[in-house]
Amino acid sequence: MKNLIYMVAIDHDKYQWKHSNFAKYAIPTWEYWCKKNNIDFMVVREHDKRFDAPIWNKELIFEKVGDKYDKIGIVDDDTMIRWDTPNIFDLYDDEFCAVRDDDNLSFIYNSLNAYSKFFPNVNVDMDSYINAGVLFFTKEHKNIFDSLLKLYFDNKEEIDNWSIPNVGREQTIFNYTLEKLNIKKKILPPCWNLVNMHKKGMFQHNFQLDDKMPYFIKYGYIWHFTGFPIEERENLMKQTWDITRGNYE
Amino acid sequence: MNNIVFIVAIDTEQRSNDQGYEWSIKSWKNWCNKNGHQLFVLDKPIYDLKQCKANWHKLFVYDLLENEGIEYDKIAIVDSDTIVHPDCPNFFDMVGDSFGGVVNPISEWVLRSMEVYSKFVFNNHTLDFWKYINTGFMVMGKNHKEFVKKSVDFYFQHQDTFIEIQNKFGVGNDQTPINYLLDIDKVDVKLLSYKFNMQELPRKEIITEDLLFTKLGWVYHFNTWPKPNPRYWLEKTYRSLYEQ
Repeated sequence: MKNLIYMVAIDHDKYQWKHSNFAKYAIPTWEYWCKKNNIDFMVVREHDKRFDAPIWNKELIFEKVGDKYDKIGIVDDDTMIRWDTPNIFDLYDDEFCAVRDDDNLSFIYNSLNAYSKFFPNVNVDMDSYINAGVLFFTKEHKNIFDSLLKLYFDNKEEIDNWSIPNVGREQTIFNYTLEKLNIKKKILPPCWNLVNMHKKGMFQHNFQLDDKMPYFIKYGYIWHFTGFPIEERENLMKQTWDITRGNYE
Repeated sequence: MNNIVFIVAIDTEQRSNDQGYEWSIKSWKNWCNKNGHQLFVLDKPIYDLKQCKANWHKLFVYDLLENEGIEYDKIAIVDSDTIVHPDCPNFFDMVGDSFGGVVNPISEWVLRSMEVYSKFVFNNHTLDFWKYINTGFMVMGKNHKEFVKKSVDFYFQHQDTFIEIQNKFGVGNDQTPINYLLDIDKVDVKLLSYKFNMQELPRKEIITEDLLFTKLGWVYHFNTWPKPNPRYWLEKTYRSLYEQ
């Protein structure tokens, strides 16, 4: 069985911040973990000019690798994986796996309303709305990515010039697509994609027990540095790398 | 079937007054009447609250019902800072023979509480944080009477330690111990949707003047002290859902 972790880490004018500035802390963690578990690791650094925003390069996964891999993980370039994380590919069969995203329900409510125009008669329940920054699936899920690409190219002008603020981009479309295609999902525990760590206080430590280890390192397998001002991302990932790098050697 | 909704609403101090328990009770009374359930409110302490805080009183429900001669099939224990939507589905039918609960959103406080109780009471037992429930909404059946009795006994056996932890660390009363006891006793817990115990509304960014949260679920839990105070939101929500 051959498995792959796929990451898009592109510097692009569309982004205010150079992704390479923080991806340089994410990549070594994934490299280490993939090597340890005999998993291939692919980082996409070149933007495909068919798209406007680089986020859509994610959807090219099957165009790039075909049916070479049995199971695939797509991870954002602002994620770091803990050195001793179990092999996720041993923990699911044929399901599409992700972690629920339920921290900002106002955002989700507004985003679902905004993008519903592309998905008439499709209803995404708040309970099954997932974060699209860490996904695990199989080669049988190619149809999801085909459907996403078709929707993008069919509506390219509108999506590229999307004017409704604060409703996100690809994630809600991804959720709608999963629902539309009636994809069997496996919701993973949040340790597999710890989002909004700042909001949850997970950068703190237990001051009452004099334990200096931050909660996110103790309780998370995949740390997702999102949900706070983007200008803080590089520094937080650097600090995390500085205190954990010894475990990846 | 005679199902009971049980609320502990002991008014003891200014903080309690700011909660506005009466709005919670009215909403549950309405919902119970509509669905053929019975509401039971405990408004006087059984024990000295310095020795056994109001939070722990919820576990006396079986004794109270039996002392009053009230027949019951299932019991929902709900906090007095919750409002139920009049159209809330019948959650008693959703749990089967399991113990029903809703996950408490993870936070620094929850993790610290888990670690403190683990160290000082539960011999370093660990919990999966994503299964940790909020005890402001629990559904149980006759088959959980023994578990609840054991939990009460456990409290009184370790009363001094519990009181010390409550005073020294401020990491909660009944909630974390109940989570440990459920896990240690291997109680089958059915996790219900967040819609049935919508906690931490400010952090979820849905506590808005137009009551966005009422569009997203069924039981609104005004914990974590939404500003200006829970009473404001309890009254406003009740009036919006039941008086218009």
